[in-house]
Amino acid sequence: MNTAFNRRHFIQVGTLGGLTLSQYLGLQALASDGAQKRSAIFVFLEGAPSHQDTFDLKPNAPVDVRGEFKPVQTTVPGLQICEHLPMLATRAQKYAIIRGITHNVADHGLAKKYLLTGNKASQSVSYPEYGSVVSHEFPSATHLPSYVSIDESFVGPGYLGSRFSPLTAEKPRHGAPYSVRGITLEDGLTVEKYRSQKQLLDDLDVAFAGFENLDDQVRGLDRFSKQAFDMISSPKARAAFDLSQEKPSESDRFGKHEFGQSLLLAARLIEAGVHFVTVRLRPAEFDFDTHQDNFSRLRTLLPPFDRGLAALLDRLEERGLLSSTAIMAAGEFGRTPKINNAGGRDHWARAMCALMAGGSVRGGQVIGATDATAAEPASVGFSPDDLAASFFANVGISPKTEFQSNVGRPMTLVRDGHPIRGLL
Amino acid sequence: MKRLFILFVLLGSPLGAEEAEVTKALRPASQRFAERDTRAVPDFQRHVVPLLGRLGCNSAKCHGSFQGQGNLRLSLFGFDFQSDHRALRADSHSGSGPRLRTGDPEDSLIVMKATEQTDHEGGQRFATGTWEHHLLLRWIESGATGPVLKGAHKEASAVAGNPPARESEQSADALFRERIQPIFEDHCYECHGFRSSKGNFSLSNREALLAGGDTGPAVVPGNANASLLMKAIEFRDDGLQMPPSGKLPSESIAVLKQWIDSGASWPDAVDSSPQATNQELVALHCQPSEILFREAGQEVQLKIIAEWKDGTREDVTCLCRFQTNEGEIVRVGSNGLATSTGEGDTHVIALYDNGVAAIPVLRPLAPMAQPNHQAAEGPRANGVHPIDGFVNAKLGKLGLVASEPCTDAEFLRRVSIDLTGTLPAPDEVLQFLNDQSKDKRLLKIEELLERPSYAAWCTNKLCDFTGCHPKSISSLLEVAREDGYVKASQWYEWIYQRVQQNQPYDQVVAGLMLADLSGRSGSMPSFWTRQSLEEPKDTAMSVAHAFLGIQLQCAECHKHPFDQWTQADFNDFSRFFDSVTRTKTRSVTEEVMTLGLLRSGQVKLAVGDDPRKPIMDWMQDPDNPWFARAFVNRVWAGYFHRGIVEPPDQFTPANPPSHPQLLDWLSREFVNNGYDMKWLHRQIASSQTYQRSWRPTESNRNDHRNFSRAIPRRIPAEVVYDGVKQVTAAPEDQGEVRANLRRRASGHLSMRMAGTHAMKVFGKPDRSIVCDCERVNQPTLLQAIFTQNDPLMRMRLADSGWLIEIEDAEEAEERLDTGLLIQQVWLRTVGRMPSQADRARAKKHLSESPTIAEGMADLLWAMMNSKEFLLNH
Repeated sequence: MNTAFNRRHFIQVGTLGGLTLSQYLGLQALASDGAQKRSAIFVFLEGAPSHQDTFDLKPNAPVDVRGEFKPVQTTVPGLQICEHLPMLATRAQKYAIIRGITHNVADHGLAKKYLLTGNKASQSVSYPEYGSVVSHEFPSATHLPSYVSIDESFVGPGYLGSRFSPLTAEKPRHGAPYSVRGITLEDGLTVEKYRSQKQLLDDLDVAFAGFENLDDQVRGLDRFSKQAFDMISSPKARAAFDLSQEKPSESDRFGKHEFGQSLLLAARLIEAGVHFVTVRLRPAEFDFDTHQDNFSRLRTLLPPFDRGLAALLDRLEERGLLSSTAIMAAGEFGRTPKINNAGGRDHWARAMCALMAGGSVRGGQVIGATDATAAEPASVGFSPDDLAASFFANVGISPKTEFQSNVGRPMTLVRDGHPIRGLL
Repeated sequence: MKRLFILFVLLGSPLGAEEAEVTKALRPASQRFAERDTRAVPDFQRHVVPLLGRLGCNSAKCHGSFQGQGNLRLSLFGFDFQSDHRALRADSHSGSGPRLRTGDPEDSLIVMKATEQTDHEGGQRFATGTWEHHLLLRWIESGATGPVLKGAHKEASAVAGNPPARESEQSADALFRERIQPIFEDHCYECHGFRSSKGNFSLSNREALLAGGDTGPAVVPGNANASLLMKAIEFRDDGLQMPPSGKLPSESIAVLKQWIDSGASWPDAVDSSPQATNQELVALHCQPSEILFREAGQEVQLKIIAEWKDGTREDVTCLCRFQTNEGEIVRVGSNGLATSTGEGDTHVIALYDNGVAAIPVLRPLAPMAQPNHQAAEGPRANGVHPIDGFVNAKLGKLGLVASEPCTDAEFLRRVSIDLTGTLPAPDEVLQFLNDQSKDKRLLKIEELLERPSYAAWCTNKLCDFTGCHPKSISSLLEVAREDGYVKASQWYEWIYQRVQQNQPYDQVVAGLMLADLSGRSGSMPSFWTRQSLEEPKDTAMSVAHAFLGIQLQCAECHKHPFDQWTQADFNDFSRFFDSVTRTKTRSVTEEVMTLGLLRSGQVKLAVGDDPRKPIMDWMQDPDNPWFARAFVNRVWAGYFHRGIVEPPDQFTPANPPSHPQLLDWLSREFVNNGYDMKWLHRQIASSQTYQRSWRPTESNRNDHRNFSRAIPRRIPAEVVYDGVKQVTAAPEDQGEVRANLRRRASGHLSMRMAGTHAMKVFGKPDRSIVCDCERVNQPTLLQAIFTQNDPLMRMRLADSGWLIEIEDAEEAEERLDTGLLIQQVWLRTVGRMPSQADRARAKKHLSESPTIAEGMADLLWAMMNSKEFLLNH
């Protein structure tokens, strides 16, 4: 029992008294039933960073393929990554790099759906994103949402239904006051005032008195109204989102960029008991979709990513949470081996890479490989489905779990993928 | 003497005996195969595959999964007879010996596995010595004959009885089956199988392979180097590299080369598209045809008779799969024994071959309640509204007592939301409550039907059904999104114009269906030109869903589990949309084709015909089984939060209507009244059934299916958004806020708002998948967070024109009548007068508030968070 997930439950029993003993034992039983259940963070590198300029460099390829960046030696012998990821280079034991991931959807919208769900987009079914699956499997036991998406979610809960939508948190900016839509009490609204409003509501909401259990909808409105009030008025939830409680030095460690601040917020939420956080890294000015000026853009984008992710790994490890938090970072596809006339790289789905850490990931290794120009997997390669299956396995959810879609159709969580061998 | 002899032969021969049975029905397989020494011979389609289905072998969890299980893959729910037969006949790769041993049936792997005489992950499916065991043994020892394809001679397909092929042929066949076909399956069929033929290239049979696609013939038999296929898989050409997901392993490339060089032999029987067999099921008959239970635990044994096109009938009860739609009312065993578990009504479903039988099950409330309506009377008796006639008749049967009529205030709010997507205005409520005329409800319905907001709300729903979605119209590129909005708005406007003129429904649909794809002469082509319709099958699914209430997608990959649709039906229907989907500029038949219209007719298309035309003609035929019903049912569902067929887009035999005669009547009269949508709304809204209170009687608390009371349901996303604006608007802006459709979520803003935070939270559909389930009306935590504390809600209150007026009046020290203000809060939010208790609590709050304006803001906040506001009741 070295996991914080369980430790949190213990704290609840000990300090909040939120659970009865039998409930606590029930949770224990749940947690020890088969795979270990973990929290998770998906760092979505939106726009699709070029694999050959980040974690899959080809220094021996022709210049129009290898580009401007040089490899740098990591702390793992024989493992090299991009020179603009120096902080991650010194932490290579903490994560595994998966190379040679391959698919054939080179369109942003459809590929994002693919990478965010582990299933190829379809016209007839809308698949749920990872976090919605986790909130379905691990319901929130605290005054906190189970799933938070930093920046509006792209796919949503799909066939699981809107109950499993994430709570959306906007991207925090370094040094700026932070608020969460719907959670933060704004414009001087105090908890006391809010409490009196809620009291008024409870006094006036009497049309269905005596019929509170009549239908699902009546019952549901009451339940969620109370839950919303508890969450918004709870000091715990508000504290989890309150980045101003961080020491400036800690805030600086994550970097003065929205990347780092978003990852800092993700860490705080996991520490508070949120089960899943999706962080969409897509700055307003330009994202990883580098059709032009690939190298100058990456010189701007990679350092804050490097710093933020390194700080996230460090912090979770310092707090003993790395082993109980599954982390994945990936974009939606890779980029063309050949540099185009505008100094950019275009969409390329036949090869991409991803990074996994935390939980039972065996760090300090590379799994899979691409060919000499990073154009194809060197051998069979992995699919986004495999990536999703591995991530779910690390979270403690069997990728072959069967769900009922909202029209009663049986759905296998990740139909076509299998956990990548040697990763966990 | 001769005559006598013939008679003797007829009596004596087993054939004669069988024929004599025909009129009755063949005895069930469980009897005919009860003994091991039976001489009966099972048929692959009629007995073997249904048995495998009943045993669960071809389910998605076992061998029906797309990867198969333990090397054996069967078609899901079993309707691809050739491939199932092929799979059973092929040797297993596990080294456990052949699946079928005709000489030694007991040692066949499938028998050893199913009886768990050898290790089987699926466990024991049946014991040795049972009829199931005997049936399989008899099938194997009698030659393990496969299906007979339509038009083929029986001998040709009796594979196991084939004369031994010459050795070279045999090895070429083996090469194909063991090495080549698996490569195609794993790497090519997703894009070039029978379901999909990217670049017009399909690998479904040898003919298609040789013909090639857009880039020319794919294979030159005997010359791999000259074959385009090799060029593509060896990545010799930058422009054509297959498969796109990555180069094949070199062994695979080598074996494909070897295969082509040796002539690209392809066994005739191997065709990846399922073909029709020569046996066609005509009907499943059920005895009894309905079940009326009286008490818990009561049992009824069902008997299912299959009737085949050749006239044979057989008791197939033991080969059916049984299930129930409502386990709380009836349970059914795998042998067809139905047991009553609770009161109410539902169906037991029996499935066999591609037939589905739905057997109604009903158990009245015990003790029988005293119905408060004339149950036995049919429609139109004693001036009873026809809808009430049908609904009450069933309530009488069930012993359910309907709820009282709702109050005037409830009626006005309910009908305003359902008909116009709009909350009633405060003055309107007062006027209506004070109106003493007896027919004021009918007059109100007429008045609402004439409002622009009626046309807007109706249009919004038609946009839901037809899939008007900015992102699916434009390409997925971000830059094209604006174009998507423009086209989606044109789509909305096009429908709105027609609804506003009350154009008949079938003509509105005909306008969409037969749209001139150039967009000239006021046509609306966007339904067809949507980028999201990539393949003809996408278009077929979209048409079937939008206008027929049918979900075809299951049949895209396998037989529909609860419907008669097979892949062949789906493929046929898709081919109508070949031209329009591929070109997006024209819909013209290029070769003479005869296509099936979802098993309700055949159409011959000549070159140059618009293939959409016969579909529209068929839909407009008054006898069309779905067109009018699907629409009528969807409109009904809008009023009752539940269709007569529920879900409304699942018109399948396994999902029968709760009130079949009502649905028949409503759709027939809708057609007889010229598809007049206003007629339909008027009929439903004016019925007692619609105007019932949500307050339950002693007996109907748990009734969600028989319309004995109103079911409170959350107001739709658009109504929440518009409603909050109305509630907070200044008195003089009330009219504008309600009438200006350009600024309403149910009006033109509908397109812009799709996908925004508020609409997502309240479940407005994206209209990007073909399913009515996309609109979600369930309450969620995020909705409660939204109405309690979202900046948008707080902003509406802070910027409220009404509250600002109150604030100004307070500052100017004008005298404010708090009683009237409080009354306004209730009229605006919940459309009724406040009760004494409401007034007292509100007064108390105002007196404790620093200012009246602030206290009023709290009151509005509280009432907008009340269930009474958030529910349509």
